[in-house]
Amino acid sequence: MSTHFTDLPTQVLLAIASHLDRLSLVNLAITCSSLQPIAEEVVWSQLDLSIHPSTRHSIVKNRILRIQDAHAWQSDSHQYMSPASYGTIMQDLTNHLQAHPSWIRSVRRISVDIDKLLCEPFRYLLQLISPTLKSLELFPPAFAFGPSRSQSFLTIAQVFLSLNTQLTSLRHLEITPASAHAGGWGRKPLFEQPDGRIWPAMRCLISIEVDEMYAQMEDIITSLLQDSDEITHIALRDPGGCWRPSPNDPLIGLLASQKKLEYLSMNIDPFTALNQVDSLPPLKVLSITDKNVKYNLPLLQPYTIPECDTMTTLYLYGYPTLAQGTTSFAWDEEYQGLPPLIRPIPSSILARIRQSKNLRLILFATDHVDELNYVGREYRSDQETFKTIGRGVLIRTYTTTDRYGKVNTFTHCRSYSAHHTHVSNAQVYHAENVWEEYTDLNGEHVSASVLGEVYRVSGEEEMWIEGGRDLQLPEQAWDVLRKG
Amino acid sequence: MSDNKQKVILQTSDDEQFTVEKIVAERSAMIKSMMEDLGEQEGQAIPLPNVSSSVLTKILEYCDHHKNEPLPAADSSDADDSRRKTSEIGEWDARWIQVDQEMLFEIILAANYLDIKPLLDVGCKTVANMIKGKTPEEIRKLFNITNDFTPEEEEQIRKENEWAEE
Repeated sequence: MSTHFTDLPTQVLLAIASHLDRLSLVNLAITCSSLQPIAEEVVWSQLDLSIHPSTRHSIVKNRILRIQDAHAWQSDSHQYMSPASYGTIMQDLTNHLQAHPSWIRSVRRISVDIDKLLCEPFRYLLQLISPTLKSLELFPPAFAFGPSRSQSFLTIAQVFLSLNTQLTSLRHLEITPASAHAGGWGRKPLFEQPDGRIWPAMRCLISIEVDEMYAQMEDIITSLLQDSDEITHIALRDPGGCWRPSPNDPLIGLLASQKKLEYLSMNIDPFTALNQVDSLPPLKVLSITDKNVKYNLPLLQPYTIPECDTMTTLYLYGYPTLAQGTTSFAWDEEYQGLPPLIRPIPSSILARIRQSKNLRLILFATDHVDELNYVGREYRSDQETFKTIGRGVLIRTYTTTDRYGKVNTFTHCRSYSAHHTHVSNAQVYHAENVWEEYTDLNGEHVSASVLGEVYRVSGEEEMWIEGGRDLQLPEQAWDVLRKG
Repeated sequence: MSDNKQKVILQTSDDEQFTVEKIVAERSAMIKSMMEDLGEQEGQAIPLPNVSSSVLTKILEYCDHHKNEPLPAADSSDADDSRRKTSEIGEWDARWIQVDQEMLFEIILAANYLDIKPLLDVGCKTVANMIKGKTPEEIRKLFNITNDFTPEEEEQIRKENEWAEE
């Protein structure tokens, strides 16, 4: 008995094919009629209608990138394209999918420049694929030119409300609206909605990302949230600081009532407004942009921890870090043991740490890319995240009840950073060997020698880079701590 | 009492019996659930009618090497996303899976049957690596596949999938 490649079960062949690049898949499809449907299924499950230049896995990249912006010279090919080209390509693809209905359900993700999208040919395409589409990303155009007057653009409402079918499979929606500087074709015409309805119902939607939030966007997001109660991830980023809602704002109220929301990204101002509503959603990860967050040292400051008792991870961004700067860092692999200077934890910070009773990790990140990696996916371990960001504060608390029934709490915060250089417009921040430890035992400072001894008797590694709350220490270690 | 040194007997298609540590056998989700079903019936062999002794010997080598690693989560509901996670084959695994093509397919079939996900993954990646960068004719030769397409049909398939070519 000998096993032949084509004898492998279909599931196994599909698994093999899923590891192949697209050209290899097409070659595999051509080998014989029994492998053709398997290879093609994988080819089309990876279809990604990306026009956005930063998206690497674009199946139609070469074709559509050429018409990336109808009004600009395309930087790669230096070809000037006529405005009608992208419409023609959308039309071609629609025809193609109509001829092969079995491939329609394989189109899972679309990301396009918003001005290529809001056109009739796209509406036909969306009509075809909307029942099975899982992810939709609307980007602003890559070049800052307005549409020519001869083109007619549809509004988002016109595109989405005209669908006969619903976006019942859509899980992820990303909108980067076009502000005046990113395209110049304006916000209003695209987002105008006379009767307040903008989207068809999306019952599977779990993730919404907006990269440029401002007051006029509120209706769009509100309309999405009203229809969905399964949302776990929301990012309403606002690098320009344009969105300043009050606690009475309907969108703020809707956000507060999201029962499944685990991840939220916004500026500190809207978050403060949200925090004034009675209850917060059960957030695990909070991502805050706060202009108080500076690249100066030290990392742990009274403003560092916004109030939110369910969060385990906090991302903090300061204004200088957004888009304007470049940052590089490298880990110092040679560092051993505790630093000589160990500071007491200021009481204001300690109170925040007690209140945020699940918080383990504060990250001073430089862009949202590392967050995006886990949006809609599983969370990474503290260690992985920390190694990626390279700069942050880890929090550990240990508790025990002594024989008189008194609860003892030992808190150890570690703020550290890889060799780190940040260049912003005005200044160069250079942080090297930044490694600060903060300790507290029931309101008292714990010195370096005691700390070293505690880790020695508890068998814990001094170089830990993972936070944790309510951890256990052996009785021996508590004795060392109490003796001081 | 359950401890890691507990043994389990596996019986292959050619009626050979293998006594292995429970922790090694549990790499197979299928054997693990069978053991749970059988409960405490000590000494009863678990029949594996789809696996030969030569393949099982090879697979147990893999399971033994990886016995202390955490088992993968049982639910992989969102296969679309996990599929994108392409990671390299580990150094030990790559050396271990250097076998002839027939053995490779046998290992894959057994991993599929025994439900050992990481092993199935290693096998599939290995086969994918063999296919990558080859022309249709080279792939046919590699796996001894008979071409049942006319040149016109081949051209047609290429054309229909041209959206997919990078």
